[in-house]
Amino acid sequence: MKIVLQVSGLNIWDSRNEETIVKNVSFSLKENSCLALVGESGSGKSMTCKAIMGLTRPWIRCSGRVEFNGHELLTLPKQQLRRLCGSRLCMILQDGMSAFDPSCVIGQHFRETLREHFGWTVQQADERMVESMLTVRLKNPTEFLKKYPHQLSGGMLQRAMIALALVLEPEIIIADEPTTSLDTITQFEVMEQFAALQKRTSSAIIFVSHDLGVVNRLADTVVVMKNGSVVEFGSLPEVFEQPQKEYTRYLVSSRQALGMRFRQVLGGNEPC
Amino acid sequence: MRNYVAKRIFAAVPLFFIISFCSFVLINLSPTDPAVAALRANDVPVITEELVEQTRAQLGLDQPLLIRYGKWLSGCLQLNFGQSYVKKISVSSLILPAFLNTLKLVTVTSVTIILLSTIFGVFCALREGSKADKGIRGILFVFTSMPSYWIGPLMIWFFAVQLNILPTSGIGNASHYILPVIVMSFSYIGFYFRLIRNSMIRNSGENYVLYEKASGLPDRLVNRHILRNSLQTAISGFCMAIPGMLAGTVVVENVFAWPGIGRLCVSAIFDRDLPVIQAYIIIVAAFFILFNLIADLISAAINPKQREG
Repeated sequence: MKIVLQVSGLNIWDSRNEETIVKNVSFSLKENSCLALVGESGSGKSMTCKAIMGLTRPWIRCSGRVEFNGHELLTLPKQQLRRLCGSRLCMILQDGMSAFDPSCVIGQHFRETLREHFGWTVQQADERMVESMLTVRLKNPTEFLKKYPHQLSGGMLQRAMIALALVLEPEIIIADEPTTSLDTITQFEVMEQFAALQKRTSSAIIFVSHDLGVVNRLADTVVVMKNGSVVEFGSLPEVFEQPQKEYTRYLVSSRQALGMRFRQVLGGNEPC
Repeated sequence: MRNYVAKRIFAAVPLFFIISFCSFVLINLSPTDPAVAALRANDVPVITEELVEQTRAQLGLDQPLLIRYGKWLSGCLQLNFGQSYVKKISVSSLILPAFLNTLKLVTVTSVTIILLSTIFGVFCALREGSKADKGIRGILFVFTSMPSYWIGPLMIWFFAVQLNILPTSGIGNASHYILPVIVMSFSYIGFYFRLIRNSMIRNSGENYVLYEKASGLPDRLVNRHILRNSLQTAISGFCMAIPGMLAGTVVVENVFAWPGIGRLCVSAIFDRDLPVIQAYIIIVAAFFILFNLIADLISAAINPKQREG
């Protein structure tokens, strides 16, 4: 399979206090696959994703190589990188409630994005969004477009972001903890949409999560991160069943222990 | 939105009555007997008890407070604020032209403040931490700290006397506005530009900005979204500053001999010319209520959450 994204020796540091945030991170993302970035909060997962898309704050500096289909993203001129963002590299954020401009209706973000990349009129953009929102099971999409973020729930907004990604059909979708701020049922629904998204488009997905259950369901490859470095990188069965490093074993076993407890409470025998 | 507007306008009416009543009662509680004040103002040499009684009846001061308030308020609503004790002419013919002069000055100043603080605020926010940002912040800080009674005469000396390019004082053509407007805006720009700058910097770290950038929106559009969300605090603050300027331009008006309401009111206070003072209070109060309403309506137009609350 072709490699769409190759990150090699990525270092990220804060130029204000010279503090290292991410150290020598390397991994590769294959076409049409799902890579999970796993680790506790503060391990540099989100920062890695932001650096790939050039979305870090001005005082954050990066070195290393991020190759995307022949483009070197870290040194690409800002204008060119911006054109790739959205159309070929798409991001889905953790908290749907804060991901949209609170003073504008949701439709505005979609219209502006689609006009920017495809030059669509408001009507064209709305038509395609309504279609796409129906496929992620959002009810009354026409009404939805006229709502403000605070009038909707986190799960709905999360699905709206997925719907936009479906229309944009990017080569890579980066999902930064998309299920963390949701309740269990909504989490399940959003997960299902991600699984469907993978099937429907040929996009490769980078899925940031600390929930190993979610990772188990979606990922083909896993990158385990700790304190800004990669601890382990391999296919899902390799990492989950034969973890090489102490830290990965700890992560997997704590997850299993939680699962055991869950089974005891429910009194069932379903593996978790 | 329509409901919100109706609700706010409806709430402003009782507020106006409460303020007018308080100001009327407070003025009447002052230790100076209005009748004595009126006699003094007319340089009556010997003020006898009899004369005071007579004046009191003449001015209608012997009636109960509530009746006097009712008469005064109904007069005010028709822009009839009674007779000045000192000048013996109607208060409205004194106060309305002066008020219009102040209004003109404040309007020009407000537009200047809004334009310059937005321009500087956006400029500095986009270049946070750069030399330009630090320089502008420093210069505006210095200007804001200069009191207008000091910088005013200084500018008159430099521009009107030394360079002789601007008039020293008074009201006339457009050039008369330049110095007072600069002096008045100095004290406000430093404040509002900082509000806009800091609020934009805070907003640019928000998630929605990250998502807009990740969606590939051009900087021009992203910055417009940031500005829209940042203006709110500045707008509410600024709408309260406008009536404040209308009420308190005394210093600038005196320095530049601007025949405005501030000067009129100060001389009325010295003369104990109660009808003028009362008219001043009620006009300024009405403008405070009006601008409070405007601030609410503008922020409701920007912030959809407020419309529902």
